[in-house]
Amino acid sequence: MSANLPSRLLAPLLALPLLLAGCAAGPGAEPPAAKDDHSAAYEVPIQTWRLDNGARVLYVHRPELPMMSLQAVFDAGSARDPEGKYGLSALAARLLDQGAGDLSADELARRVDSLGLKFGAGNGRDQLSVQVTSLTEGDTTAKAWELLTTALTQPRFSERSLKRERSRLLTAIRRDREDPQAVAVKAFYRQVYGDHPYAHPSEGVPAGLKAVARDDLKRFAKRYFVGNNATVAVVGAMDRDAVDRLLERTLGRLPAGKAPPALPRVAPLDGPKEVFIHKDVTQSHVLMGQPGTTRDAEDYFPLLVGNYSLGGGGFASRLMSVVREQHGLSYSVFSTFAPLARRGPFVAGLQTGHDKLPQALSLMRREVKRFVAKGPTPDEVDAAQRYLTGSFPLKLESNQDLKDQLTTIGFYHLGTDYLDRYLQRVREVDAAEIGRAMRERLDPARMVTVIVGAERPEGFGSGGNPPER
Amino acid sequence: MPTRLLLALAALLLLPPAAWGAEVASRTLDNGMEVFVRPDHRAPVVTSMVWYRVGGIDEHLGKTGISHVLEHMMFKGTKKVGPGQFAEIIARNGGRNNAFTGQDYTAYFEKLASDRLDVALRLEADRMVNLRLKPKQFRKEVQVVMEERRMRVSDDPRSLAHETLRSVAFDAHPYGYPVIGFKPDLDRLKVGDLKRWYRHHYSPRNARLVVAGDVEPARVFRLAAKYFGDLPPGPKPPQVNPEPVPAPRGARAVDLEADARVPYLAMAYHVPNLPAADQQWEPYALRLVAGLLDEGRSSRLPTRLVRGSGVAASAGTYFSPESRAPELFYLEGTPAPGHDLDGLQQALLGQVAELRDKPVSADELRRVKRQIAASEVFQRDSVFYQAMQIGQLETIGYGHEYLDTYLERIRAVTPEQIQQVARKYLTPQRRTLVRLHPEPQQGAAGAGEGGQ
Repeated sequence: MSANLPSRLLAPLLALPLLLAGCAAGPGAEPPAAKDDHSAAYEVPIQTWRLDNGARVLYVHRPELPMMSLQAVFDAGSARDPEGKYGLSALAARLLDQGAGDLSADELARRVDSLGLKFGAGNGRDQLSVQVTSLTEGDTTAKAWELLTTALTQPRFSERSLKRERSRLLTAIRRDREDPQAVAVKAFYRQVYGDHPYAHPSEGVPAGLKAVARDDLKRFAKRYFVGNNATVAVVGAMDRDAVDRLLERTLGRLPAGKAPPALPRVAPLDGPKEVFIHKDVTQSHVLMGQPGTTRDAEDYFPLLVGNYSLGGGGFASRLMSVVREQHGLSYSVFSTFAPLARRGPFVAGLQTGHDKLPQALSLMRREVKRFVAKGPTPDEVDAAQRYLTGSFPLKLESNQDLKDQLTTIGFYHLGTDYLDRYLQRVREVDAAEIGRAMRERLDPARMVTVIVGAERPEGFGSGGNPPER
Repeated sequence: MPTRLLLALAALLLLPPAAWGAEVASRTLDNGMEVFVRPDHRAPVVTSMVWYRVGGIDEHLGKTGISHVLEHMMFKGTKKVGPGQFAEIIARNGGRNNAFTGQDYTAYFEKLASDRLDVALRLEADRMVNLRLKPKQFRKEVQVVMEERRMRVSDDPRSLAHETLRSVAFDAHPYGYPVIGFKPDLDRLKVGDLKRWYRHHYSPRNARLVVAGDVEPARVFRLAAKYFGDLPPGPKPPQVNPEPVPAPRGARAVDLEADARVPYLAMAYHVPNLPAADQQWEPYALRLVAGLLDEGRSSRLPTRLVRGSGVAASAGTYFSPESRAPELFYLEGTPAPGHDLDGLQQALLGQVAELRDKPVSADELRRVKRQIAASEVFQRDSVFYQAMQIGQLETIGYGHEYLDTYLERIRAVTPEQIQQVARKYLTPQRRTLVRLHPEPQQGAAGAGEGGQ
């Protein structure tokens, strides 16, 4: 039923319902829920194999709905953008559905729509991903995967499409400057990552986008869209043999190639940085943080459990409880670790009216500092463990959810026993381990703090800001 | 392909999907509360939702935003459950919860392991009748909502444009008020107002429970009777009789200046919802009009305006036939560099004119119908979405049975009917248009955000 899929632009603006909070749920000190968690009873059998060209396949059979979801992920995110061509990965992703083989952009679009497919591509800092969702009716899925393979092996990258998609990206980037949160996020990454390839945004920067030529895109596709650089997650109604055969016939045709060398390590910050960006808005947006951890690190788990109590657990967290519940200063206040292949950021943030900014900022800083120094209480650890283990099946509910998990497990080499290990590791961490991990990764004396707002708070960022790169 | 799948397909795609309706079990408790269950056993989890038929449409000037503030206050505790403990209990049971307020409804949900469903139902039943509204918490929470308003609307030029668009299009009809409320109304709101709002609208008679996921209907009915069954039915829900949507009397246009970097245009036409349509097929035909313009990348706006003439950096439509009162059919877009709002406006209006003047080809119409049918299957992947559909349809008075015939009615729409609704409803008399113009930038404002 319901609406036509609203364009990405319109959806958030319309009369869509308002949520109570950006993230949900939280504990505190109460009722003794049964200590057993039944998450363990839920097993998701993941099957993995490699195609002849080296592509890693992760597959789960879900026969209930007559559909297939496939996502192919390449180590070809914006961190692989060459110097001076920041935006190459973003353009490659956006151009994948703009013509392939002997199909023009219009013809490809018609083919995709006639088959009733959901077809899309995108990029982040680590990954470039392509996905297609198809019905299993007739040979729809075979045609879908064939189209996807053609898009990857014979992308057209026509001058006309390049010009158009570049111009659309430039418009989107200009529009992002309307959004104080987007402005803050970009400045935050720039400050935290300095010379590292994570510093620039995944959609690139205007000068870089303008420097990208058709040959760059072709070289990029040839280098990165190869079997040994591919993780393929598949969830749906087709059985394993059928999936295997069809994959060999389609994505199996990608050349074997080579995975790229690991990204450079992230250098630690050498001191605190405070950056103020003036913007004519009614609310100040604050982000503070540092390089955090990697997705495959062992301390991912103590940090995950610990951060739940600090600022990841919505109403369960100290930040929400102090900043929003006790003082009514911000609608959203949070902290998170966003792990990547190399150390992804730890970031805490809030938005508040200018008059309340000094108070909100000092409360947030105090809570982060205190938490890093002392760690959580045993009761907080218990609450976090109950939530994280109990809510585990929720992450595997829809085929789409499951496909996303498979992608992460495959791309970051977490191992097919990861889902079991997740529960076990979450259960076994304690307050001491969390405290150690927090202190090892975070140093409150060397945080980057970015504020976007109409008034610079007194004394903020006055002491020799690092020059903008 | 296994036979079982073929059967499933037949049910979903080829035949009128009567099976969909059969998959929703329902029962009415003695106190009038309705319960709906949609089993889906793929994962051992369950989504439960309580929907109240109260939202922006029920509000009056001077008290706008009250439904949404009350939604926030629903987490502030009852006689048995302390402030903030609701979320805490759900989380300790491994669950997530949240709530949302719209024009037509207010809804609360929990996602939990299926054997914890009773925790959610116990808590929801409790706060349906036992909420404590304290002045001190209320004052703090209104501050939070003000911050929410700043973030969502005041500092977002396109949100401002849409608030203006609805306000102009709907005149004094409550669909013209923002769900989050006007700021002066939030300033003046009193805890006593909330108490009245709660008493009038929160009761079993005005609520419905929807449970979707790994559950059997009999168990849900048993638990529902246990927790909600003994609650007093509450007052007869107020007969909401909002003023009729004002009769459109000519094109309206607003030029808005804001701190935007990119110009933007949104226009909307007054169109009927299901009950208000002269012919039952009209809303379905309008849904297909939206699809022809903007369903998939082969539809008209991306093909013609973005890839073809290149006048738009982006362009889209939005229309939903499901609402308590007649709503709007939207078109919107951002001009591409080198083009301006006038050019984009002409191009969008040109597309509307073509829908009126030229019948759509059978092939194009078939492609859109095929996409809508496929999306219906894809959307069933989300248990949350299934519960959402049922809750919304029941709350707005369509009934979940609407789903049973939905695709059938979409398939039945003809090219002539497309042309008829375009001629009848997508007219200048019914149109409101907002153009968002970037203010000239002062040089200093951009410092530090120049990118890399």
